[in-house]
Amino acid sequence: MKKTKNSIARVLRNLKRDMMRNKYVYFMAIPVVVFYICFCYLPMGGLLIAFQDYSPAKGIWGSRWVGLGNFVDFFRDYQFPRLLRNTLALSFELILFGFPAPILLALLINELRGKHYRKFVQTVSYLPHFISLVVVCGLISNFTASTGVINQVLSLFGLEPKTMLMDPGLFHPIFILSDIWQTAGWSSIVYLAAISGIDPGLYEAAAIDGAGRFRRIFHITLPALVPTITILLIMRIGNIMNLGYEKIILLYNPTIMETADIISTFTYRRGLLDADYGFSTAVGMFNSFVNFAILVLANKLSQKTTGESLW
Amino acid sequence: MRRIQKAAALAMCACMTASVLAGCGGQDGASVSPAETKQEAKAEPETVSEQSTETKEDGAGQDGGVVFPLKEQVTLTMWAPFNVNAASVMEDYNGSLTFQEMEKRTNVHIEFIHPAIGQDSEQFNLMIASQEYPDMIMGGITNYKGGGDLAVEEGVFLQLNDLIDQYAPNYKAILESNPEAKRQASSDSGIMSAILPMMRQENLCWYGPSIRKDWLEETGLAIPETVEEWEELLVQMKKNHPDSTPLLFHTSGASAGNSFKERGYDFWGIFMSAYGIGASSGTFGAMYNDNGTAKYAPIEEGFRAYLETMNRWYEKGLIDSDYPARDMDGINALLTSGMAGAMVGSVDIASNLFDSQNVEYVTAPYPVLKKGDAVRLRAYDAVASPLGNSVSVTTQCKNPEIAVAWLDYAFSEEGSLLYNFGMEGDTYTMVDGMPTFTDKVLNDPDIPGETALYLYKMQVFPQLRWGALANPSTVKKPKVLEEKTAWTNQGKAELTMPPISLTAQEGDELAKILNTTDVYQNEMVTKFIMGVEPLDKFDEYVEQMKKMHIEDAVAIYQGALDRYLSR
Repeated sequence: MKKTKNSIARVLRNLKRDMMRNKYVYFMAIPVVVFYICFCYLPMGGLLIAFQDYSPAKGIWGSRWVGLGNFVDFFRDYQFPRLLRNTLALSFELILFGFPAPILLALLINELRGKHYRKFVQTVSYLPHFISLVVVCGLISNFTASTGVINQVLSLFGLEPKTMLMDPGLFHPIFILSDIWQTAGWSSIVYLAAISGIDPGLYEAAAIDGAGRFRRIFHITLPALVPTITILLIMRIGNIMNLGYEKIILLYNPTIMETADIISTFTYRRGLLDADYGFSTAVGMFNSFVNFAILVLANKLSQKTTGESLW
Repeated sequence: MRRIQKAAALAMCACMTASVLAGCGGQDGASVSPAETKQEAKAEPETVSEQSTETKEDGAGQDGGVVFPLKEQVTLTMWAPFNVNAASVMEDYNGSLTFQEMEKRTNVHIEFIHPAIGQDSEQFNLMIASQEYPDMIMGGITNYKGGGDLAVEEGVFLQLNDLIDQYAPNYKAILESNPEAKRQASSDSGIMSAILPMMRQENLCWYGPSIRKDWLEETGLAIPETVEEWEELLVQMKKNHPDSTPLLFHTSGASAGNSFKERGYDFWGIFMSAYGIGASSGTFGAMYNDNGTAKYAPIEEGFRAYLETMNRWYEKGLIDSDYPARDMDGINALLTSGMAGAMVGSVDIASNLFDSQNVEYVTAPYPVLKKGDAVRLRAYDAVASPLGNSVSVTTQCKNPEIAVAWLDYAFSEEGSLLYNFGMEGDTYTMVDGMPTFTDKVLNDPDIPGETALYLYKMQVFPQLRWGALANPSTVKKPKVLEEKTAWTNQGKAELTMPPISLTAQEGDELAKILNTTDVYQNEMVTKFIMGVEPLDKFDEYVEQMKKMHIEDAVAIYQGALDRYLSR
């Protein structure tokens, strides 16, 4: 008892001394700390409504408390298993197929010789990033309609045209391919920047030693990219449950709900459309917990295997 | 940690942003809501009385009413969903001739707050969550989760009974002269939480099936009366025009989430009612009233037979093969490109769409199973309807008496003419005591009938409604008026659920049940129609619906219906 009291006193004393010494540094940190308290920590108080039958007019203190009722309702909901399954499946597929795409693209662009051609390819591959999501989804549903381009091409090979967005089995491929088209170019910028930081001397030395293009990619470019890749991968995994719900809302319909509905679209429907705030907050909170757990796990794993980690 | 916050639920973000903004404005974010809201709510009646006495001193007549035009201009704010046809010619509803004239006559300026079209319910919920309300809200009682009574109880809307008594003489007179109007204007507990539109006379039935005349004549068949004859006709049409979609269900007129696309039956259940089950409009889902018994169509035996028919029609290509993914533009495009043989929907819209491609059409009677069967359901307007066009006054309104008096004006003789027909001498003239639209409204090629409803008059506000008589599209075409009359005389709307009212607790419980069953039901119905699930599974589906407590929902309606009938 006495020992801990002493140590606390010591910590306080040290802190005081440190503050006196570095008061300007502390002073400069104030706006940042206030920002985080205001916009990131205070709002977390709102999580309380996950345990309530929340009514905005009554406010947090006036609403009825229901304990874990909202969570139990969610776990018992007949949609729960498929929501979880779809959320995880889509996320992992996105990481599996979507994450390597910009790396490959960056490697390819890096190997291009003609300067003008290279710039042209880069610009073209960025463009989809600047198209509004609503327009992108309009394009997707037009292209995949039974009278759309894709079906017309397929019908040349004797395939029966059908509206692809009404086939539950095709939703995941459509979602992931269009995501790659949309984001690969833009995300490759980071990798290109990392590649341009590699010492050209390494390539020259390798060339003199007789290393071909592929050798140079595998033994110089890729190893140099590993730290960037690891950090981006961990950050991506940290966002694993935060799929782009807007895109799904714009694309889904009752026929493909069983593969397209994810936790965030469910939250949107129950929270914003049905005004069931308590319930949807509980669902969102569950989502965040799973997300957080996966992030910690991924970070640990990365620390053990590559030595790179977020903290 | 920042990531956690990012990941938090959408809805929560909305509430939280509100409280945070408040928090950074110098108040303690978390504790802003409770105590203060209560105080505000309590303080409100005082403010109201203060305000009203002030106006009395200010510019009011002897009887304590509000006298228009006001001496000083007053600005009131109103949240109102924006009609898509209005949006093509104006920025907000102040672009309407009616409101420009209203401002001159009353000296009240209305500042409209329009949500993005199609996002009414999201933006309504966000507004309620922000706890900052405009003076008036349109459609508040249908959008507020739990209904008007709960909104009053929770201190969002004002209870209007006393204000109506004092400041709305015209509205009050209508309630007193028409017992049905009085019954529908307040809830079971006697609360009036909104001013509702009122029908001047019974409205004509505006909704039903219409068929392309040339395609019908090709088949040599008569206008179909039974479901069987319909099938025969559609099969023939498909034979003559293999690429076409013989029958389309138009989504217009259905409230969000209640069209064939989502539900598998159209808004008024044209074909469904042939099987003795009813689809009721909007807020009541498919709850219907079978001689005083509340029933829910999608779990009734008749629904299985209906689905079998729809499934067969789907397999034969008689209805749109892509219907779950087809939006209203897509449906219109099919119709105007001559790819459809018949449509179910508003006859005003049907006539405009067919006319636009110079195709003649005929309307068919509501289908029945056997010739001579009575039609028990058709599109119909209750006296106080539509509820979505009602206007509620919020507790944050500083001039509730002016708001109520302003709303009441639309129920006076001259106000009703202004809302229904526009300006005398400009948009209408009196012919034999009957207001008649001028050429400006009827024959302007740039302003179609649907737009004229908002530009020269105001279709969607609480007012004494002249119904079909004040609809330029109908008045212009005597044929449409005849067709509407024929439907109206063909049958009664006896299966419709009357505008019952739910208590706050009932509303809450019902929302919980229907939120879950709706998703499951819509999915299963779509699968049944598309043949993904065989109809043998119908019993299983009904079982599952019962497990999700659909019967409790029916019981809630039963209670409310009993109360309504004994009112």
